[in-house]
Amino acid sequence: MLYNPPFMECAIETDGLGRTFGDFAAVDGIDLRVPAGGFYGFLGPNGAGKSTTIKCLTGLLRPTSGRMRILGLDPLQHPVAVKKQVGVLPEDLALFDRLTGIETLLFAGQVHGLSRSTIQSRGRELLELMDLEGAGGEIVADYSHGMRKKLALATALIAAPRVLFLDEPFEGIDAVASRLIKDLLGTFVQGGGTVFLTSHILEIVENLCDTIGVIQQGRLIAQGPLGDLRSGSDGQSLEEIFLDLVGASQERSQGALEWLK
Amino acid sequence: MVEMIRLIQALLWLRWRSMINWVRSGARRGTAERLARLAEAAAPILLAALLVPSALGAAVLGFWGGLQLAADPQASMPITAARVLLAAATMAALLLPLFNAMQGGAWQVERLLLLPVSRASLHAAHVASGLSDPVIWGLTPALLALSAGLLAGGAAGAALLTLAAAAVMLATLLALQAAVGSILHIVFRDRRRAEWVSLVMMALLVLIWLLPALLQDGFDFGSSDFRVPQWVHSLLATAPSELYARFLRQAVAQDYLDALSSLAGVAAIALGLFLLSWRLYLRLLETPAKTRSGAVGQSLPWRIHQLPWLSPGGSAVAASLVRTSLRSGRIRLAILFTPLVPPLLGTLFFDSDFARGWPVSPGILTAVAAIALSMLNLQPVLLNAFGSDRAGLTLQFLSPLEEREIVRGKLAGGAAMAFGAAVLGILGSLLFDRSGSIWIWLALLPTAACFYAIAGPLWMLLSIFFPKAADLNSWGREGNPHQMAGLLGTLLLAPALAAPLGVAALSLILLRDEIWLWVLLLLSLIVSLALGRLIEGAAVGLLAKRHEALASAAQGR
Repeated sequence: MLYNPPFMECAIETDGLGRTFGDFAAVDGIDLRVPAGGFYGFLGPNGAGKSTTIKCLTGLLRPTSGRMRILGLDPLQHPVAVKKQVGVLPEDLALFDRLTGIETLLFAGQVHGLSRSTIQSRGRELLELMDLEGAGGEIVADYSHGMRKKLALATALIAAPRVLFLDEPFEGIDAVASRLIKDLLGTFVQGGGTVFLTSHILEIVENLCDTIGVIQQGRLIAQGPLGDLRSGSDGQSLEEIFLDLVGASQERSQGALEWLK
Repeated sequence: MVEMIRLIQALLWLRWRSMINWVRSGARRGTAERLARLAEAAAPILLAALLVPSALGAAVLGFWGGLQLAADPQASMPITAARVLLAAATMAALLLPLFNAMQGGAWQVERLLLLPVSRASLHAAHVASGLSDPVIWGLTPALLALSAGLLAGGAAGAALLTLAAAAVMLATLLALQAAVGSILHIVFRDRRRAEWVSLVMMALLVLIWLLPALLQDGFDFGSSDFRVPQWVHSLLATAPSELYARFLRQAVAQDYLDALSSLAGVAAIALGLFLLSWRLYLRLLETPAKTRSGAVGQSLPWRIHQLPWLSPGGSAVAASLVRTSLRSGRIRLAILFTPLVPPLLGTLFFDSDFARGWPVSPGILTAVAAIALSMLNLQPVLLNAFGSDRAGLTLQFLSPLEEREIVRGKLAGGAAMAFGAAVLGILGSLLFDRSGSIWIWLALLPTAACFYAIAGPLWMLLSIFFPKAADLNSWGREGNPHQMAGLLGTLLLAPALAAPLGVAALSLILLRDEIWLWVLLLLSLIVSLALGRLIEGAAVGLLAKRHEALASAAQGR
């Protein structure tokens, strides 16, 4: 079930990527192939290694083995060149508590070398789109979780990246914001961008993603276009395919915790 | 009661396990981190160990006082000692919750509401938690031993009454502490209000410190014209410590009816405070935490700050450090109070012969002290330039920034704040004393630059070695830099200041020439900048190696 698109088509590619913490292999030699201009859903149970993989790819963690290429560049050798083309929505959202929304976008724009006028026009548009235009002057510590997530996404987008890494972008946000983010990401991919996202909401992944990777206990156990994964599964939903892949059976919950009844 | 004891047991266990797990998690971060965590965990144990002899000493004094009173009911010293001790404990019950609230922010009472425990038990546990207070630990043996001393001296009736009074007095203090704690935490539920209250309280404390110096010439408390108003006397007479002193006097004089009446007064206060603390605690449980505080500015300009000699990325890092730091009460106060330091030092030290014999004017000396003190006050940010960013540090690591840009940006941001404070300190000194050559006054700026050129990169190096997720708005441990960074950074302050001050002293005392002062200072600045550049290089190299540790520590893991 592993899939290998031609080398040049890959926006993100890893060979034997691994990361250990002491004796524990959080990521264990995975070979990712993320097609350029597509939506890649990276799935796995809790603690499977999804966030560690994203952290390795975005330079927050140094892999202990393997190699990576993002848009044809090795992020370990050319970290700044890669980061210039990449936007990230990390697990902890990575925002300064005591900067305002506007100042956060100014920071992100300035470190990417954008001019003041470009930051201002893009920032205003992003704040308006994210329904944050009235909150631009408030400090981030005063934002709700949903507002922070939208601001973090705006921060990732302001430099017009070619690849977006999104760690659980739909977690903890309302239906309106979720719809807004989906539309925005759709536009981004139509424009040739590549999205690499992790999510536990398999319905959203099924609707958005054209390629899926499944990681379990640090190993990539499946990868390929969603259609290919479905073709061998008698019309199962992505949730059913995923549960089959990770071996989560109903038997485990049946008969357990009798005292709850 | 059983429910309450179970709750207290659970809370004590929770605190113990949290401390043990916190120390254990440091094992993943190397020897220095492990030692620092052990030192921090050992502090309360050491405090408890120190409390044992203090409590024993208090018990001996209490016993001796009891014996004295049993032998001579007119003895005034034990009663005065009890008054002073209890008045101090009452003040502590009023002030300690304030310091705790300023250090730790608002209580997470929502979590308590999720427990299957009644609100009455929660309140009782809240009041009982005051028993862990060191003041109560010191006071209790003294009050109990007083009773034992009276019994040993043969005054059995007074001994019995003072035993009951000890319980009533302790209950009063616990209820007072609980009520004040609840009021403060209702106030501190609103983040912005908490910041302002902390700022105002710290400013008041500094002003109280300044008061003796400011009143030195203008106001004489000892003069015959000064009278404490009668209403103050009346109010103080109803204080629990005064009522207890009256009770004690009456009890040892075997005037039991009056003694019981005075004790009833203390008990009434205790009951009133307990009921008040209960009402306030219920209010606290129902008060939602408020974090939203309105905009800093609804129409903030989209302005970027491009600093000379820095890349756009480095400038953005500098601007973010300055903005986030200046939005914390602690750093704002550190900078704004710098100009008050010279007049204070001047009034305290330079009105005397001490000022004579120096090669420079008192104003210049106080300016140097103000600059040094401002650097010391800015340590929470200068010694923790990475950890104080918290999640913002991850944003910097995800951005297309070279390590050198990050380090230089932080150095420039720190320099902007340090020099801002230094200039305010110099202005404060000029208000106090303008004497001395203009060239020597102006030489203070390169002196400060020499100092920062070395101290800045050294502190940056310590920030990278010992990061700690810190909330700059907290006035206590939560806002402090890592202990090791704090210790080493303070030790480095003296040698870093010694170099430029040594140059200044050489030129002014031995060479007696302002031109030489400038020549030597500029040479010293060049050497300092070169040295600073070397240390900066080491900091850049270390940053590249410690990305993961820094990101992890900045998130408080």
